[in-house]
Amino acid sequence: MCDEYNREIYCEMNVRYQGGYTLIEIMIAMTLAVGSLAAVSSLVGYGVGVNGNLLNSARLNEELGNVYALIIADLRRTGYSGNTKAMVSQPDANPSPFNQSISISEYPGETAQSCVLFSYDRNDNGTLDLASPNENFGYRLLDGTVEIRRNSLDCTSNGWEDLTDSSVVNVTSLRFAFNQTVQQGITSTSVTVFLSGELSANDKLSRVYQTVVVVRNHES
Amino acid sequence: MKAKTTTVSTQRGAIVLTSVVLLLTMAALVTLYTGQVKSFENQITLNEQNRLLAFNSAEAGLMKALGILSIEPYWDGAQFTGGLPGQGSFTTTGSWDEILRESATQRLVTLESVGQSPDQLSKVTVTEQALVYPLVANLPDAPLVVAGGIAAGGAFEVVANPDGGGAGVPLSVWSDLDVDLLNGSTKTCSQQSFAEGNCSNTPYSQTGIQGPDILDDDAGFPDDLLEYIFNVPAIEWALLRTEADEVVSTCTSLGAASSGVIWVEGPCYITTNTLVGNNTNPVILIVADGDLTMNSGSIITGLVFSFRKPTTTINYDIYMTGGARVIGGVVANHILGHANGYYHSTYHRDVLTWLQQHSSFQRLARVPGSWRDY
Repeated sequence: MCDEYNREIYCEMNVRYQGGYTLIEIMIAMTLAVGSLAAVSSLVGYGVGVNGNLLNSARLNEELGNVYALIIADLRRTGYSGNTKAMVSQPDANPSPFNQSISISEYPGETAQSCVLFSYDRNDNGTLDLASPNENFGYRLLDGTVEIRRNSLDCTSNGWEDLTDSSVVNVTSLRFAFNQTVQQGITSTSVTVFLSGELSANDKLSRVYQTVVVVRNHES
Repeated sequence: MKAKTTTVSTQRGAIVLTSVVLLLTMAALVTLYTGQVKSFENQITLNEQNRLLAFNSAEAGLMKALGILSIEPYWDGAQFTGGLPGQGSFTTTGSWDEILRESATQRLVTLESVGQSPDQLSKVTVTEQALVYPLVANLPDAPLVVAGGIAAGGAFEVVANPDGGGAGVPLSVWSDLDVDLLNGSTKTCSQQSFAEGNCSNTPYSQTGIQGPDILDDDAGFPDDLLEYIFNVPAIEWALLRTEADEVVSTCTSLGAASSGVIWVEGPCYITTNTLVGNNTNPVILIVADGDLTMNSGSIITGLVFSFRKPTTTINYDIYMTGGARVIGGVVANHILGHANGYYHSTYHRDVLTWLQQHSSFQRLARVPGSWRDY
């Protein structure tokens, strides 16, 4: 308070403090403040962007990678039969219903060799069951989506079930190539599987998978 | 008034500070979330890698078991463990089933291999079956089995299989065409007669007299002798050659230490007094596209197969001189006897049976349709 007692001391000081910052000081302070805020905002934006990319990448990996692993694991089992003991003992009387079951074609209008059909003895009972479980398996490409076979439908039929979500991933290619080699009289069968896809929301984010699957149970 | 002025100044700083703190907090939260996502992804990758390592380890165990079986066909299936350095471990066992296949009892082994990742978080079990079978699918029923007939021009002595034609029905020679005994010196006899040195005195058949122990012109004779004996069609003879323990172009290296399946490309010349194989270690000698010559005193114990390849038109023969003989059986997929020669073949049940039972003559085949990982 500028009263009689302290007028000279405080009121004179107040005059000095009320003078505040100079314009230059304020400008510098504001520049620094705006710069700091911009830098921090940029960092936050970058972090959010990176995180978004990571999430997208993870989603793509999940969609394509899991489907690919499923196809590989399933194909590898082709031809398994739980009745091998009888087959070995009396081959003519006990032919395997799962033998030579691999068939590769495509849905009309789709990429060539983009559909594979095969079977194996899922419940180990030696017979080809058509229900609970249906032991006819298959995968194909249709309209940018990987589909799994249902109810023993063939490659050209509708009614298969989607494995990938086309709103998330666009499967650009799925191909199967059947290979057989003979060495010292022993036939070795393999299927080359090629799968590629991209994120529907960002086609710059893509994945490509390729593997040669040895079909151990395929009898020539 | 001094305090008031200071308060105004602090409030201005607080706005910036609060904004920065909020933004930094947001950045920190985003970073933490990103780290969490990355950590989750990393865990997924690790799990996938673990499964692959466990799978590969299980497969390695299976392959090792198959390797053991190929060396020790009578392996008892006892559990063993092993691992791939730094990449996982496996535990493998085998169990046996005896199955009847083509009138013979064979062994079907079921192998089970459990693979684990190095951190033991992932485990994969794979199973597969393998068949242990004898290389000799069918033993010759007679000591001399010939496709194309025999024109015996020289000395010819065969000691019969006492049960070759059925229980108690001896069989000395079996052929799809005529066995001509009109020329040369021929005799077939029983095991007992031979053992007593009376083969000439009590023969089943002899020159000019063909007894029932010689079954010729038989309509039931196999079309393909190689396939009948070894279950490999003649046209695919190269497959059988790959099964041989030894492939040679001459027989000079053969001797008492020889064992297993020996494939000879071209003529085979057994020197005087050379013993090839014995009762406990018989041999299978396959002479492809060549004459077999056995000098005096030489003995082959086991099975001799004189094989003419399907594309070959030349006739080959077997020459045994001065007491040379085969103990076990002789099989030829071409005519014998076009030249004067001496044949002596003594049927030996134990030797031939041993050819189906000895581990040297067991082979391994993976059973198609038996592999699974679920």
